[in-house]
Amino acid sequence: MTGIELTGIRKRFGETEVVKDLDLSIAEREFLVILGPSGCGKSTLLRMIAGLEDVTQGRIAIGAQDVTWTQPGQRGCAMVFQNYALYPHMSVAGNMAYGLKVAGVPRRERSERVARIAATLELGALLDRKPHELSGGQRQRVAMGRAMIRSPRVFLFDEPLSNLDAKLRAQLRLEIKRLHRDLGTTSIFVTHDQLEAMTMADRMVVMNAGRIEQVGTPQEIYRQPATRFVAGFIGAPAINMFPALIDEDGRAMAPGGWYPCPDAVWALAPGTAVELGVRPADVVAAASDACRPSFTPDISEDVGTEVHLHAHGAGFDLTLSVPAGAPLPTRSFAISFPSGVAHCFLKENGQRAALRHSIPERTEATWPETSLSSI
Amino acid sequence: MKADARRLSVHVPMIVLSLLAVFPVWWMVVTSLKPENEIFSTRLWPASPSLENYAYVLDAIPMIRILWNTFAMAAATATAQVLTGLCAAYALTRWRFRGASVAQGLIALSWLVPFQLTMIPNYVLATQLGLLNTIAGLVIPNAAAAFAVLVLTNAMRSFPKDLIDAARMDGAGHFRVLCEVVVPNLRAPLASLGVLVFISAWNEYFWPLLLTRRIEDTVVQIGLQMFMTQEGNQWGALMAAATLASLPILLLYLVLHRQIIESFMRSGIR
Repeated sequence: MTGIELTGIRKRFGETEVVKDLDLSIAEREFLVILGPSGCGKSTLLRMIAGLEDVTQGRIAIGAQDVTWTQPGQRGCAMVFQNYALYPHMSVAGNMAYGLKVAGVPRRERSERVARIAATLELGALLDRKPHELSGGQRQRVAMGRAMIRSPRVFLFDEPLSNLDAKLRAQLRLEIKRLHRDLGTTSIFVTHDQLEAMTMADRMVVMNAGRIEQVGTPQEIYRQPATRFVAGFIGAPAINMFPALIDEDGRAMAPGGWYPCPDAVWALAPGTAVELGVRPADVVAAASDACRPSFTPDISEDVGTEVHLHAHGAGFDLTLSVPAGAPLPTRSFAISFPSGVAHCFLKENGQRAALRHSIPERTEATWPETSLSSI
Repeated sequence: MKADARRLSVHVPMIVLSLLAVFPVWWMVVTSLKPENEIFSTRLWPASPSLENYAYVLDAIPMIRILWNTFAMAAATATAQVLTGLCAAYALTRWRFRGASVAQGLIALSWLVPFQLTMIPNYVLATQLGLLNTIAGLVIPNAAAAFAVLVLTNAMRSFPKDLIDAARMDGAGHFRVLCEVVVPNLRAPLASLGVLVFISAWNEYFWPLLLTRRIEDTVVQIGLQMFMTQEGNQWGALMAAATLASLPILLLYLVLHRQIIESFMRSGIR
């Protein structure tokens, strides 16, 4: 049993509280990704689990054993660092075997284990090289080998792919996932890259300003964001937000008397200020009419698989994700989207608001097939 | 043409400055080779060079013993200052503790305290501890120095934190991290500091003058003084002794000059 239990964790640097009363359970063999913007406390949290940073308050248990005040080397965790952190004066073999040397493993056994791990990571030909003679990808592989060689109970990854180019990043992402599948070691992966988080995680934790905003599977977090922050942080291009007020019937009314999702009735008091979030891929262009605000196309970005169209409207801007090859509007257009795809967040605290009654998540609304220049 | 002129304008002053720096050393060596009757001649090379001054020096004072004392004292001082500086710098940069910045400020302040202020208490203490006329007495009061701590604290500040964290994750304790990870990667500043402290200890005059009474227990800078008497200075012998005193430092520099300059440049010590 090598699950991890964090209870009431707080971390203060002087007057600044960087982790605020955080509780989290990580299951055995789980691949958990902690995602958040720079400075949200995610790396500090990882370092506290590793033992590199003392907790100000709270308890950390790994495999039912309280390790809150245990030295880093005795926690059974291995860590892969963002800058690889390979010892520059040691060879690849020396780097990988250092932990075993410290643990007093005899030289022959060390060599055998290095050879075995090097074969797994295709590092066999590089064992005598120094870190400065390796490429970024090779260095990261050595760093992973160094972590794997001690057969740790927990792997901790601190943004390990952020210094690599996009192609290598995708390749190593797969390798890490494959290793996790084969070894089944509980892993915590910290990143600020949502693509990494979405593709690698069994479960994700989204952090902001030292607090957990939401814990869930990548699908839950993308489809049911618990807060406005999560909705805005996950998804590229970012979710569209429309300010609105709840009317007497519980429907959200945008400025100008527009009802973006007339079928949705929220369990909120009349007059509550909210924000409606709609993913760019769920918005479709429609012909302008008097009841809906119109938008003017601004910039379009063709990313190959789709086109991101940025548009200005009265009071709010908008991004649409248009299928590749679909006609783009050239002049003012209105928008529509199924009521079920809208997320409603309280303006006051950013929390998600519940619907008073359920509505189908999707109704018919597809990108118009006619040329949008005629809309 | 323009480039040549610019090169010339840089090189000519540098050559003049080099000559100015080398001339006293040259004059010292030349004077040491002059016989008694030629000592005040202004010739750039003696008419009849002789080693009689060297023979006199080796006969008049136990020069080899004195050189050995100086070497032992300088090497021990350099080693001690580097070690204490390293431990202090590691603690100051790696451990978060209450009063860390105050401690560092006090260390920096102690650099400003003149030797004359501490010499009497140090002398009394050394006497009570029975350290008169000993190399230990010469080394111990200088075993820790603010300069060494500050230089190494700066070097440690720019040392990659992740490397130390990686070693701690590998199970290494602080002492092991310091010996096996920090020191091998901090060789440039350690070497330049070691050389600087060695040279400064080699040239130490005042403290050995206070602490050593017997000529066979003293160091080379005090040995030189033996040739400066009330009846007049023995210039030939003095210069021969000074040449002998400079030789080890000169040798050290000749052997290591590339590493010394490189490490000074890399560690930012000028």
